[in-house]
Amino acid sequence: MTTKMPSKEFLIGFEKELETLRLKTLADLGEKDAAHIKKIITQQRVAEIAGRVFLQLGIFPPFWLVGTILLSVSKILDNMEIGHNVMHGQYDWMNDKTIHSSNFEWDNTCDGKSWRQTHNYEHHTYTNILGKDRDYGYGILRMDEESEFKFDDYFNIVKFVALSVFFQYGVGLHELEADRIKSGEIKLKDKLPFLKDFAKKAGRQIFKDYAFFPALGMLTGSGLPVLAGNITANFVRNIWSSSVIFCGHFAEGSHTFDENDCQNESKGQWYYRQILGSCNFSGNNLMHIMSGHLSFQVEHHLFPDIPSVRYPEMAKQVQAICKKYDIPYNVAPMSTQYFSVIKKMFNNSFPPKQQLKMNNAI
Amino acid sequence: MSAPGFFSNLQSQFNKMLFNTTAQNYFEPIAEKYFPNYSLANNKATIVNIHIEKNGMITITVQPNKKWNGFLPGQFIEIGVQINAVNYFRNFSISSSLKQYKNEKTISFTIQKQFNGKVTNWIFDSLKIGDKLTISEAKGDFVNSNLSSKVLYIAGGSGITPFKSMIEECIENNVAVTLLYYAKSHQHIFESEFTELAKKANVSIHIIDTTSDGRINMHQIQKYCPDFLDRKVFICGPNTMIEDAKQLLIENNAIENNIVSEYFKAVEFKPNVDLNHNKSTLKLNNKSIETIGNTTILEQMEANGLHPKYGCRMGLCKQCSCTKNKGIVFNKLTNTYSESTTETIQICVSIPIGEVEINL
Repeated sequence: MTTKMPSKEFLIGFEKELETLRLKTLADLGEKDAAHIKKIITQQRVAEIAGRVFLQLGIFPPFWLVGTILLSVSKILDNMEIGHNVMHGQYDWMNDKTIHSSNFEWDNTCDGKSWRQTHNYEHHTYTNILGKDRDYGYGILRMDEESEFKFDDYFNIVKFVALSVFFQYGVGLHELEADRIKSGEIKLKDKLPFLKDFAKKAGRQIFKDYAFFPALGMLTGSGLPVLAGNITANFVRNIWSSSVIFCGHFAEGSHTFDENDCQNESKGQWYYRQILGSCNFSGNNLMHIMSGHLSFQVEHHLFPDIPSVRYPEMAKQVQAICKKYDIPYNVAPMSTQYFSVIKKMFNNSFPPKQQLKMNNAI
Repeated sequence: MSAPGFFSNLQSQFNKMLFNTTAQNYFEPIAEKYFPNYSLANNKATIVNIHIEKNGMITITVQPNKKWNGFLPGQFIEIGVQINAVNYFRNFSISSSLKQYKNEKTISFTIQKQFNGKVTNWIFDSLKIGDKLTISEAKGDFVNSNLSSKVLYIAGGSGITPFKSMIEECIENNVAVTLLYYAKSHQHIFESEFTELAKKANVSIHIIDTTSDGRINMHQIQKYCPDFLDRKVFICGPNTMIEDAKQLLIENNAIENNIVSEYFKAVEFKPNVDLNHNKSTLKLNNKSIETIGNTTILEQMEANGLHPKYGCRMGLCKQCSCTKNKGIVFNKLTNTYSESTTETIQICVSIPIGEVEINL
């Protein structure tokens, strides 16, 4: 069921309080935030270099294990706390061209430019509006009972597992809008420039992880262990990042919206939709860093261009504001959120009962 | 494609494959943390001397690292400083001689303190000997490439800074040089240095007080440099002064091709405008739009039949990011004014202030 939008007037005070919080935090940005992102970037680089060096000696199992863990950590840090946040422009105020949304590229098959289009713009603007937010089910999964049921939705579980395992390719090909090509809504030809960019970026990533470093590993007799380590690291990153992202919008209690209710919405209504469409999960600092602070999905959606390291302190105030205006704020342990995602995905792999009844009646 | 071009392209593709950026940018954070004396990506310079000049000016002498490629007299460098983690870049003319660079491996630049200027105030208040700055390679075409003909140098206010090293270059090369240096009473700098330089053969330096003697006029040019028609002329100073000087010279039969000028102005400026009655000019690649009020660049462009790329229209998604080459914009999302230097802006939340030039 989509959620009705409260009136603009009802949300004026609420909007003002969130704006105040936003400007207060912006004015306070400085050395601490810069030091944080620089520290994480340095840690990621050290983890990647060490990981790849260990894997070159991966013929010895302990070295393989350490190398694979370090490379997985590097890829997760690069994609979550660094890439995702830098590409949102959270650190653009530093005016440092190496940490800037306009040209950052990450260790992922998804091209940065395409990501900024599908994620920064489409997903963050139209969050949880059915039919407009293509991240809601990624045009692949059926995650809401109001979505039309198609035959392939019987295989929701298979699609869910495949998307999790190959998440970086799912994200990389998101802009292709394969479902809309299949339905004839758009033509494959129009997507050729995008496909060319994707092929370039994905080609480089595949060559690096599955040809260049394994070939280098052959010098130390570790060709296959390097290949296995790289496959594992990409797999670990895919499973982890997809889980974090699924928990952020599909968990129990996350609301969806109807396009018609969101026309000409005020900033307050936009804030309202971001809060109701997002779910947080609780955890310790390590969990927050490894999830790129998407454990604070609510705060991230309210303030996508504010450094993520600020979300924990902002969350306390956002919760207080939500309580004051009686707006639901969704937070639960990650396992609870993930389990509810699985449940929702499973339930949506069957045709809605109403629809069945109607079909029977006819 | 030429062979070196092919190999540098291959190398950059290889770095992209391995690092998703350049090798320098990839290793720089590690170098910065563990080997702070060795920076890969930028030219660093260490401050060796700070000399207070007259009237709110300061000369800073720095030693660039070994990677720095040297300069030609008249050129400037871009200095990068970090103030509360924000990087600011400013251009300053090199005021020291080639001889100083050769003998001591140092260069100097002279800075005017700006009223309300964030960067110059910070330089005056916080910079100390031993600190490191980021510097660019030397840039600019305001150089005397033909060191055989006589020259006339005309400076206005802080536009004097490139001429000190240019005069020393003339002395080295036995080129006759005349300098007319205009500034308000008690605002002239390098006076003792110029007194020394004026003792050399073929050097004639005239320090002119605009408060008592007025701005540039033909009478002064005739008096101090009667053979100006035989000389190559270099002018550096505020825009109006350059225009006046050029016009005077051309009216008196000077050849326009013999005149080289460099606009010199303070880049720092604190706007104090009423956004509702803001009249601005927006310069695009080959179009100029007059704008009124507090509408954004995106809205102004659309009203003029243009269709730039945009996304969320609320300053969040960065789809409409573009480069602003010149001018100041007001960001209505952060309620702040931008720098007037080159930087990335989002046109959906930027209101132009004065003359703004953007690249789409």
